[in-house]
Amino acid sequence: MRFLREIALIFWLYVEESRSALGYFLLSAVALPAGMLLFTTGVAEGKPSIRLLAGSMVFALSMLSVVGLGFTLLEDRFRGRLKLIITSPVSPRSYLLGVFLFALCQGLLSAALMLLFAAVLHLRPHLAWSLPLIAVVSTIPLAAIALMSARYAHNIQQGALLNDLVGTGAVLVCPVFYSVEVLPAPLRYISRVLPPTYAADAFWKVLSDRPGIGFDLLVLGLMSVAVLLWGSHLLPWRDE
Amino acid sequence: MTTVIRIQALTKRYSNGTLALDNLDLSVPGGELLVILGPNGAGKTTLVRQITTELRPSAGTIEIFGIDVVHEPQRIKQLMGVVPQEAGLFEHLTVSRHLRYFARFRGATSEEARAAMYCALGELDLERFSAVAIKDLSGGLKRRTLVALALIMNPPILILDEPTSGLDPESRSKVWEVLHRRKNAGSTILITTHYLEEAEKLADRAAIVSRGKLIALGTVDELGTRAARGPAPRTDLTEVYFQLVRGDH
Repeated sequence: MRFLREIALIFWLYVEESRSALGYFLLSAVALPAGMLLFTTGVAEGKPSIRLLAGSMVFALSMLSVVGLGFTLLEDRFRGRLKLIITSPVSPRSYLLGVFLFALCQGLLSAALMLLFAAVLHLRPHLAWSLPLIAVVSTIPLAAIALMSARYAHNIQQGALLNDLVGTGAVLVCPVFYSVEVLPAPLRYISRVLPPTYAADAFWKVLSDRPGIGFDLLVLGLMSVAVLLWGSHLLPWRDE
Repeated sequence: MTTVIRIQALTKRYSNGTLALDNLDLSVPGGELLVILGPNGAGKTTLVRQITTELRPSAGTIEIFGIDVVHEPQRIKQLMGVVPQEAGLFEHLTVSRHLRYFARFRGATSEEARAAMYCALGELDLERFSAVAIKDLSGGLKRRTLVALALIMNPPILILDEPTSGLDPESRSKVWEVLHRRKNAGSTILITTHYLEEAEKLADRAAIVSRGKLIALGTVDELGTRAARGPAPRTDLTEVYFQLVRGDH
């Protein structure tokens, strides 16, 4: 019970802290993935497609969870806020889940806004209850990338650059906006261990009403469980 | 009197080879206010960070109420209010929201947190600033907010790393007053400071740390006697401090 209460408190703490930037958040939550959808549609000779929509939703999750959450974690570590939390009785796992929940809500909102934006391009995606589930199991492994950069960065600038690089790079080197066959052989292997590959595939299948998301969900689910079990060890909760 | 903080053979060697603490022993009885003094880089903050569970000791043990800080950090943190040296606050959150969140982290219900918030605001004279966001506060008021966060919900132990650094004389004297009150109420308090005047005003005992070693421990009078070389004991802490620290170098 205390564990759940701590998670909720951490979540609300970050919601309140971010409230003043709500306008900017909403703008970036729409503008960044929508811009990506328009850009990729342009590259595809002006033909919008469900694959590109799925890719843009993964891009939205990646931007919010890796870049957005990553910056929050970096600020916590390098501006001394983490020290304040570490010296209070909050457990590392509660903190981790609280900030993950915060990132997840942002990612879900951004991905949902993309579904609305799809109407502008006259796309008619198939909607299903499995979409939020895919978003959840995709965000957790992506958030782990943010956690790692916050753990190992030497300063806030270095960490922010790393987050930008990984947050956008992971989406671009994975078969998110195109099929895996398009990728050069080495990238195919790399993309197999990166969550955007499975997230994009699962979104694409659901949005285009195709079956077979079981394997994608299984991989993302296993990645999420691993992050939830071991992620708190990555937090700089006690220095050596 | 029962020993609340017991430190035995504490050693900290950082990964770059620096020996920050060397085989340090220290016991703090319940209800005592112990001031730790020492030059920059002496090991004061390293000591405090190990007590507050932020830093893992290389060797030795720290027990608080008989509980090992390395093995049971969560239990320890419940007993302790801490002002870390370089802690940051949430810039867009108000003083009162900080206090309520941190009271809730200590297990308070919403109502208890509200009551504790008013109490801490009053204790540190922060009522006027309760609705002000941290980003709009001066450095001194931020430091006072950190002290208020450490005091909230009356933890039995207070560990304060340079709590008055950067405070104006009035605010500093306010913090001293609060610490006196808490000590009289039975709290065990450990603070580090560079202000010798602060040690003289507050300390039941003072510990002087230099180059990772505890070089002196006692009441201000005891330290003066120990440092004296002539027939008359020195009682001025500034003189004693410089003599002991220079002697160590």
